[in-house]
Amino acid sequence: MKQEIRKVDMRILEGKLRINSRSKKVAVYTKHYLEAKYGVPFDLAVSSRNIIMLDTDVDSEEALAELQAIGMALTKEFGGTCLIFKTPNGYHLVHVQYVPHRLWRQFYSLLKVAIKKGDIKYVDLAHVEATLRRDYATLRLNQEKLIWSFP
Amino acid sequence: MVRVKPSPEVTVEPDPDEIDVLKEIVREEEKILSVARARLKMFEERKYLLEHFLPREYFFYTVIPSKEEKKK
Repeated sequence: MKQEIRKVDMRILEGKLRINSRSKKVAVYTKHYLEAKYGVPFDLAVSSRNIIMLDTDVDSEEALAELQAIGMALTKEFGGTCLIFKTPNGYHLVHVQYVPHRLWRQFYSLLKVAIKKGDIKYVDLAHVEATLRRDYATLRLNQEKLIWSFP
Repeated sequence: MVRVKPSPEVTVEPDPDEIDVLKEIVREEEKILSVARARLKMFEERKYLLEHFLPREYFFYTVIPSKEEKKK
């Protein structure tokens, strides 16, 4: 039992502990419970296996323009609406449209190649790689403000 | 029949110090209210995103350690 607790503690220190839940209430309760138990702050994030979500850690007009271009391309390809949110460090893009998981994965794989080639400069490669590794995309909910939507 | 004698009107001179204190309190309250309003707006926007746009079947919530904690 002690070993188990130590294991969990190590995972928290490394920032790897992730708990998924379908229910918002359960997630919020878990967040407060973990904060009280371990005395470290936790964040709430939204995740999906069918909705494309991108993260940029650069706060510049070029980064925003790049995200807008990706958003327009996504809307043209799959339909739906693209939303861009301002976060303290950069921007979040959420493509509000159901995309079959196979296509969703394909998109992220192509995006990874494009980032490595240098065609796409500002989208966070670590986020894309983590998304492909976990098989679901996650965005932290931190003081988001809607700044752009298309169409 | 009982007649009630009207009480003489009393006017209190406002104490200038007290006015300053009250103004300070009002200012503080307004600050708190503005923060609360901003938070409420933020919450509404998030709620809008989560509950209006995204269909429930296609997303779930994740609890993750805060970034500040990761840096340590």
